[in-house]
This record gives sequence, structure tokens and C-alpha cells, in this order.
Amino acid sequence: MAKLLVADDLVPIRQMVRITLSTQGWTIVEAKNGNEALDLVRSEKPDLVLLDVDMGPGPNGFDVCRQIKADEATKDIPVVMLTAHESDSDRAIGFAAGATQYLTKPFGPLELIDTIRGILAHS
Amino acid sequence: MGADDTKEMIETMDASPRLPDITGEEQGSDVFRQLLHQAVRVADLANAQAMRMALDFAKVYEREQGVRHEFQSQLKQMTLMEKQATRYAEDLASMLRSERERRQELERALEQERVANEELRRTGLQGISHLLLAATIKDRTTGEHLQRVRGYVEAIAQRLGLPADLVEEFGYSSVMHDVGKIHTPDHILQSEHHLTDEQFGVIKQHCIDGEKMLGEARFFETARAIAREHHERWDGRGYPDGKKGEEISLAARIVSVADVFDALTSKRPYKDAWSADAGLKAIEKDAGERFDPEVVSAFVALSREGVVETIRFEVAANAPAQNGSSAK
Repeated sequence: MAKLLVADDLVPIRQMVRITLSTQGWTIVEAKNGNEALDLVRSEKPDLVLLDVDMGPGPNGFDVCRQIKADEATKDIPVVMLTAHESDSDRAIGFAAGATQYLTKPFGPLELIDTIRGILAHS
Repeated sequence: MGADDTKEMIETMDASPRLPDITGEEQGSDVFRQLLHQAVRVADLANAQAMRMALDFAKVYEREQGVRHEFQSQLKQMTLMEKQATRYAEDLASMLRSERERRQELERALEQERVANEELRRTGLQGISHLLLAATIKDRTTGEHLQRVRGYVEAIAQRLGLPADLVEEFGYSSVMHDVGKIHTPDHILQSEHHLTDEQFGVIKQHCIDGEKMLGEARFFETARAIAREHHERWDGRGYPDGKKGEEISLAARIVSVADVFDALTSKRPYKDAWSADAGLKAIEKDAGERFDPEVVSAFVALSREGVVETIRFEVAANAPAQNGSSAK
């Protein structure tokens, strides 16, 4: 069974993601900022990471993604950006940072599940 | 514009008015000088006050900017959450809608299938009763034989604890166990002599023919198994396939006991009817060899309870009044 990390500073978003993904039988680990996300990626070794971009103080989602990709131990973990930044330049930054997929808020539950399922099936 | 700019702007104005040198020859105007000093003090005070107010204003402005910023970021989050919640609700609604439509469609399909099945079942059962009727018209004993076999089969199946629908299915299916004999020449069927190997080969063929005749419909699935396997033996020495034990379907194992018992206790061209006791003993003797021991136990128990006798009596009583050899 897959283990997923969701990093977002907003409690309601984390709850929505957790409830949505738990319907697929996946285990969800939550982080409320960039530093917490990095710690949990290293200690929990999730199968996939969902990253918000603006998470208050500390590294933002792009930074977190870059650091995950820079670490030999975590570089193969797929990252999905989940953010309200919907401009093409933000997308480009996300993919350049090493993200596998880029979803914009508001996201639909089916969209979220399908995206993750597709990535997990390939890895 | 930051607070620093404001402060600098105020400082440039923070200068007492340049006074002309008033210590000159006009010594007498002390009053004027005092007034002037007072005016300067008041002006200084007013200036300081203005500066203080400006600084406070700058501070308030700064704080207010912060609050507004905080407010705007909160507002942004709330707007995002609102959009997010709306999106979820929409997705959920469409999921529920399609789920309901799917369920309705499924229910409709199920209902159609149920109706079709019921129709098929009625047609099938009707066909079977015609078959029984035809057999009875041709030979009354054959019709009664089939009815007794059906009665025994249903009683045994029930005794073994099978659900009611299976009991019924085994019952109506058992009636067709010998349909393949339609191809078997009468002189072999009614032969009073021992059969040659070649004739026995022809007899065996009725199992295979019977299975084939019953087509492919689900309704006749059990009937096909019975037609094919009712001459198989528990020990594997039966025909046509030499299946053994539980390789033989339960329905066929039950029909085998019922069919042989009724054959033994009926009059045939080459033999008299045995008593029920003698027939039962012969069946018991073959338990584990020819017959499934569990089926035999069930049948023996039924016989002890008088069920077998009741079935024989009822079939004889319902038979059309006609001359001919009955099982009794």
C-alpha cells in the first residue's frame, strides 16, 4: 500500500487531500511547512510527495522539490506540485525543480486521484 | 512610501525661523523680545507636536499596511478555500449523479435479466413436462419411472441440505437423464438377453447423445451433467468417461442412486420387480463402490422415515388409470 506525503500550510487543504486519498487505501503523512516536509521525506520515505508552493516561513514548495531531487536517497520519489500559482512561468519553475506533475488549485478529487494513480502505476 | 521618507520630509521643516539679530541698539524693546521668544517657543512646540503627530501617523500607517496585508492574504486563502470547496462539491455531485444513473441502469438490466430468466425457466419447465407426457404416452412405466426418480432426487438433495432452488433444479434436470436413448434402437433397449460388447457400446452412447441434445443453455447445465454422468461409478469403473468420486457432479451421483433403485424395484422385460427392502439392501451394498456413500446414507435415512414409500405410492396414485405393470 502506497504512502503519500502532503505538505500544505492550510489545514482544510490537508484534510481534503487526506480524506480524498484515503479512499484509495493510501496512507497519508502531513507536513505544514517546507522544513517539516523535508524532515518527513527523509524519515518516512513516502512513495509520492504533494507540495504546496507558499507554505509560510521556511523553504517554499519549489525549494523543497529541488532539495528532494538533490538528495541521492530521495531523488526518485515523484513530486506533484499542488498550488494556486497557475501561470506558465510558475509551471516552468515547478518542472525545472524536478516535479513530475503540476496541479493547480482548485483541484477536483478525481483529478487528484487519477494523477497520483497514474504516477504510482509508472513507478 | 515608507516611514523613513515621511520622517525626512518632516525634518527638513524642523527648523526654527531664522530671526534677525535683535540685540542691537533698540534696547528698549524687551517686551518685543520677550514676545518674540515666546512666539519662537510656541512655534517650536507646534513644530515638535506636528513632528510627533507625523511620526505617530507614520507608525499607524505602517501598522495599518501590515493589517491590510494580513487581511489580504487571509482573504486570498479564504477565496482559494471557497473555490476549492466548490470544486469538490461539484465533483462529488457529478460522481453521485453518475453513480445513481449507473445503479438505475444496473437495476433495469437485472430486472430484464430476471424476466428473461423467468421466461426461460417457464419454457424449460414446460418442455420438460411435455417430455414427461410424451414418455408416459409411449410407455406408462417410463413416465412413472421418471416421476419417481425425480421424487427421490429431490428428497435426497433436500436431505443433504442443499438450498431449495438447487433441489428444484436437480429434480427437473433428473427427468432428462435418459433423453439420449431416443437414438438407441428399440431392439437393444428392450433386449431380454445379455448385450454384446457392440450393443453395449451403443447403449453407452446415450449418455453422450443426451448431453449434446440438451444444448448449451444455462437452464440445462445440471441436466447435461446428469445425462453425461449418471452411469459413472464412485470407484471410477462406470461409463462413458470413467470419472470417479467427486469428479462426478453431485446431481449425477444422486440420480445414479435414484435411477438404479427404481430400476431394481420395477418390473422389466427381463426381470420381476424387487421389493423395496431388497432394492435398498443392494444399494447399500454398493455404497463406496458404485455409489457415493453420503448419498446412499441420505437415501437409507429417507427410506427409514417412509419417504421413499410415500413417493412410490403418490406416483402410482397419480398415474392415469390404465392397464400395465406398475412398480408395486
